[in-house]
Amino acid sequence: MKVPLIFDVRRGSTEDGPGIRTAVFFKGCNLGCAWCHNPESIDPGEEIGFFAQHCIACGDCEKVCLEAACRVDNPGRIERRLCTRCGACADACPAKALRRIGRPYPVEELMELLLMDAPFYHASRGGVTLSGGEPTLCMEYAGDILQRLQEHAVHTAIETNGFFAWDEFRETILPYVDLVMMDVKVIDPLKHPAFTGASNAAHELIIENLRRLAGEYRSRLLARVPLIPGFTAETGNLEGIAALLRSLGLERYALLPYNPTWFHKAAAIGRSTDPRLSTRMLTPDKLERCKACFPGNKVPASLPQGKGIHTRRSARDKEGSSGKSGDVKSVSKKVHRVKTRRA
Amino acid sequence: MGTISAEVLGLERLTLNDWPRLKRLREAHFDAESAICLELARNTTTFFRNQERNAGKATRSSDTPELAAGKLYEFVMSRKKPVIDDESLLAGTTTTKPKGVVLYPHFLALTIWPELETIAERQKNPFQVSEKDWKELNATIFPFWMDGTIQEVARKDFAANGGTPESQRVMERIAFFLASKAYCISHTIPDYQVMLQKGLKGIIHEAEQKEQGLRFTEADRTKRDFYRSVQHSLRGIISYAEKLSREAERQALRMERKKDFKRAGELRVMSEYLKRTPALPPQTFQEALNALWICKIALHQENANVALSLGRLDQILYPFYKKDIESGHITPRDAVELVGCLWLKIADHVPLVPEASEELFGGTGSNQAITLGGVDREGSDGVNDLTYVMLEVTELLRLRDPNVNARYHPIVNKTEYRDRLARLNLKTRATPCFHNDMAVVELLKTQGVSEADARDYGAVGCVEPTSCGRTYGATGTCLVNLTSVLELTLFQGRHRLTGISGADAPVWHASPSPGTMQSFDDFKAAFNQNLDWLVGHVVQLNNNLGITHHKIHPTPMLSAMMEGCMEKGRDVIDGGATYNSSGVALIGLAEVVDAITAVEEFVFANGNGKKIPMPDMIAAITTNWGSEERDEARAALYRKYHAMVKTSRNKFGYDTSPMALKNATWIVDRLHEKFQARRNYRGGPYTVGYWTMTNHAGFGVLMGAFPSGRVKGKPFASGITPVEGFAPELLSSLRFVGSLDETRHMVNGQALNLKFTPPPADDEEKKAAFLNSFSADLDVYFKDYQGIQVQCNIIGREELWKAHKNPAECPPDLFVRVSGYTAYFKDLNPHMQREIILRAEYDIGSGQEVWDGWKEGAYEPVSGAAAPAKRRLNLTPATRKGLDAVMKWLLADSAEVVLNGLLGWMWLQQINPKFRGLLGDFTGILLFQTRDGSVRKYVQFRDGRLETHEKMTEKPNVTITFTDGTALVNFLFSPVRGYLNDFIADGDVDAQHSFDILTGMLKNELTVDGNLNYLYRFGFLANHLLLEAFRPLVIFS
Repeated sequence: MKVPLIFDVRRGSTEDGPGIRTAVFFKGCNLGCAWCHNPESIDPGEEIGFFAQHCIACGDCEKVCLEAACRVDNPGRIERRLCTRCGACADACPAKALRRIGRPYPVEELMELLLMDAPFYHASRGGVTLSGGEPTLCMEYAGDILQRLQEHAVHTAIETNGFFAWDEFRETILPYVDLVMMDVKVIDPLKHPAFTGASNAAHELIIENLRRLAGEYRSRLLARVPLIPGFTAETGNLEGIAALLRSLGLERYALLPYNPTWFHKAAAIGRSTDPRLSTRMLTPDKLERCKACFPGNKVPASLPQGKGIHTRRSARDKEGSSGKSGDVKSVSKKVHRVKTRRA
Repeated sequence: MGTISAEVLGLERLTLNDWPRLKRLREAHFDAESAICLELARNTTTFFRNQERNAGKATRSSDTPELAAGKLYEFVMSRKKPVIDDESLLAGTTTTKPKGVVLYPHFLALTIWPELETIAERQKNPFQVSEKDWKELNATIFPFWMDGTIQEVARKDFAANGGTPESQRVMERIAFFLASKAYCISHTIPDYQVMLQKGLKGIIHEAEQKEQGLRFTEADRTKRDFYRSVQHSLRGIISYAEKLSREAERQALRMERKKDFKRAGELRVMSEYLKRTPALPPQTFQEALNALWICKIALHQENANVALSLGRLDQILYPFYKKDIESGHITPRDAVELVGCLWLKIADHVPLVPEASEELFGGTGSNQAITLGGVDREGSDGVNDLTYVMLEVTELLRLRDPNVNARYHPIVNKTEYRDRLARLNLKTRATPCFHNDMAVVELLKTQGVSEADARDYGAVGCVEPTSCGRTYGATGTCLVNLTSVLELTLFQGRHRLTGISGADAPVWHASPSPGTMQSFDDFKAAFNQNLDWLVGHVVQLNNNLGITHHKIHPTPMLSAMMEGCMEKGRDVIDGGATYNSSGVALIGLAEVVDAITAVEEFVFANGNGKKIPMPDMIAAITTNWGSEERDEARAALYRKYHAMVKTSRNKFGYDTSPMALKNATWIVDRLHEKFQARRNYRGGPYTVGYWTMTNHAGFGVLMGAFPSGRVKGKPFASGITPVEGFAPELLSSLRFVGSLDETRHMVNGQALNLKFTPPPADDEEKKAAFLNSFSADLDVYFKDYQGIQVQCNIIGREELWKAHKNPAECPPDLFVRVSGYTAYFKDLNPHMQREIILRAEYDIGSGQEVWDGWKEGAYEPVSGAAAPAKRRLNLTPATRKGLDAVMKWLLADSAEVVLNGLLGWMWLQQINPKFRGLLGDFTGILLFQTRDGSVRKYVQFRDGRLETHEKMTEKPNVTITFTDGTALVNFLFSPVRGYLNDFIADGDVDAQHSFDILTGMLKNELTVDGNLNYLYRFGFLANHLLLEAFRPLVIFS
């Protein structure tokens, strides 16, 4: 089983799906969108981050660096060309200004961390969200986690860019996930490479996967449209997306307004940011114009909370599904909706 | 119960504009200035003067303290001026002023003696007092009490047992603990139900019958006096009510003449029912509220109102409410108006705080807790319509007093109730706090409280749960600075602040040198030893004060309204209540746990490959992490250590740190063991709680750096809350704190303070999401982790920061939760304001602490006052420069000159008739000296005549010892520091020097041995002369 690096396990978030959730961020992505708000998630390998505000300039990193890549007189500390990412500097740093980003979590260890907050999930109709990066790059690992969570009656969600092999996704992930949050970024295939760094073929596959999910699995799908000024937040693109969603019969989707607060994270790992990107939040005017591209949108434009998408299995159901990877249909039948008040 | 009527639920949609009377009363409340009321002090003094005079005729007074107290309150109550506010529906006031400050001559009144002339002008919380009034206080009232205050009598009692005992000296250092018994017998919930059911005449009748059943033995004599004193004092209350009735009648006539027939009608109703109640049981809801209020006024005369709490008003008043609603006598809207009047009455007085105490207590109200909701005695849902009415009033009025506490049982109470509380928190941003019925009932049961009584608990003061009307829990007995134990352990029994070590003051306990410790167990053993030492002193001192209280200040009215006392024939202070205990509160738990854990991790364990030797750790914190170290290499090393400990994830509030959890549990268990093993003077156990009022800020500012990474002078975290910046995950903090009390050792309550970033006011969807998470967090914290209590501020740092920077623009009703109670932000001292701003703030969206941009150093240092010092003089730069030089010289090294100058001038002033008038018949000896003996001066007053001596054989009444000349000069100049701020061109004198007795003692600049009241009186005279000298400067400039 391919074990991914995980760069953050964020507890108590309400921004990654309904209710109170723990979000698990996988490292590595098969797209490279210019606006990615987790720039450290793109590279699948371990990276060394430098967070200048914590640095006390003690020079310990300089002493341990064998490649002479770390220098206190360098404002970014690490000369990335020379760095072999051995991590010695991060281990030596007393202030945790230099940090290793990403580490493998054995399934058991991750599960323990995720189940700690189970009472909070249940009380708020929340659960666990796998995010990234792109969690479908390690489907087997992700599927294992999701399945175990469902066995503990935890609501599961996945955030994906849609760029995955359908069959494997259907078999490994779909049986164990209650909510799929999928990005729909670009409608014009020709713009896709420039925005996301992936080919036209990728774009085709993404749209095809959206169609498939919108078919049989519509009730579990939440399409999400990032609103990036200068990129996706253009009338033509948004109207195209709106038309596509309509044609698929998707009434429920979310708009994600641009938020530039991640720039410092890009700086920390020495990644340059696209000069075309705005450094400001989306203005209310602009947001209204974006919203106007989605006429007849009945649901609020941001993330729906709770009701109707939470699933919980009773103990009896759990016993019933003990033969682990049953076929898709038999398992998804057992995923029934419960209007919960509290445990 | 449990089903709430639609009409009551609909109240939430209304605003204060729908109750014009409440709106006007609220405005008047906020407009009123606090003013000192002499009534009680004057009447009490007159009573004892008369008694002394009568006793002079007979050979001796035959009254026991019990009987004297009964007669005193009969006298005080029947002479109390009946006041009915212009518009209120309830009659009676605590004082004769709209917002009064009561002076209790037995307790703390004399502490304001030195500042009588300036108290109306001081920067924080000024109190109005007329010249006639302060002259009366100085001439006739205060002098009578110079040897009669509780503190003084207690001190003499200790002295009779062979010198000032150690514990008194330790307390006087202030840095270790504060004992509240010197202020009053309070911190409890009286049994108002007995009054509502029987009426005061019913209680008097019971007392008469009990008295008749007694025999003529010595043992029964005390009981007889107790029953008689109950009868006397309650008759006093009845005659006060009758006077109020006549006053209402008089006002009604006046209103009729003015053709205001509506108000006249209201007054006639009042006049009518006041003729019979509270003597007889009240009949209507309004009568019940008024009867309760009159009894509360009476209790305020008996004891200073420090957390004299009201208990479960929604339960005891519900039968009256129900009857009136069912008969159609009132509607829920009328009930809101009536309850609103009570809420405003409860806020009609403010506690007396001498300027010196502002540092530690500033901004606190009387902390009168009201408890709503929860389960009833049988364990079923106790939430009723009246609960909702009272919540509505809380929402409309947004007052600091009463402190509204909501009980919530996550299984029995309905979700609608929880959601109402959550919405109320979001709207008021700070109230009510939440108590967990599931956990608290179990806690009380560990103390031998029966299940039904435990279910009938209410909060006292800040958060302390006690069974209502039957427990004298004295829950605020002592506030203990836990970090002082850490300090003694790290510095071999030396205290950095007070600078005194085991060697030169034998009272101090010396523990082994940390350098010689081989293991973490050794360190813990030393900590444990120091803790024993401190616990011993806390208990000894409190017990001594309790005994004195019993001797000179029994409490017949409180005893009449406390289950158990009438049965036993004993006063509350003599252990009459059904349940007896004494509660202490610990300050700085999170700081100490973090520090101990850092010692374990970095000194004794491997610290993840990064080790810090103990001597280096001590050196690092002694130099405040290198910032006070001259050697740059060492300073760099200490900075590195600081970064290491600061970034460690073994901290109070990380549920993923078994090490921190283990250490926290160890401390909590030790404290519980040690205190539970001790008995108070009433035979009950001591209990331990974790709430801090404002003291965590005051103590924090005075304490140095700790191994936890804490820097010098930062306010401590409040209550049981993790240190800001050290526990960045909300759920982790909740789970950590929740898992601390699996052992049920926090009997005296805890205050978990959470601050949340508020959702945007106009975004309904975000608000709904906020409330969903908020309610879920609450439910889980209570149900799954058995958390005891939680309270919130839903207010962002930016807004508070703005109010802190521009006090003039801070709205007077901006209120915040401090640690257990609510306070108006503008009243808090700057340290406390800063602590609230810095306090961990969680963004419920990300579940993380919002910390970036508010790191240490994001603040400029806070000076002694938030507002820039008032410039009183208009001086030219040249004059200012000249005076600057003179003042600096005076402040530097001329103590003797200044002291001689002042005394010489005081001596000359004796011929000034005005000053002679102020001197009165002052008789006493004061000794001023410096520790090194360079200055030593006796000041003797004899019948108002002043003499100074270098040597005397007589023992002085009080000795004031200063560390050095500067401290002495600072002290002498304290009253005119407003002017000094003008002379000293380059800074704020307040920030550099301490000027008053308390701060001086706190910073170890002076120690006082003897009767403080003599010093207060001398302080008044010295202040007067200095003010007279400096005032003309204002005219010249």
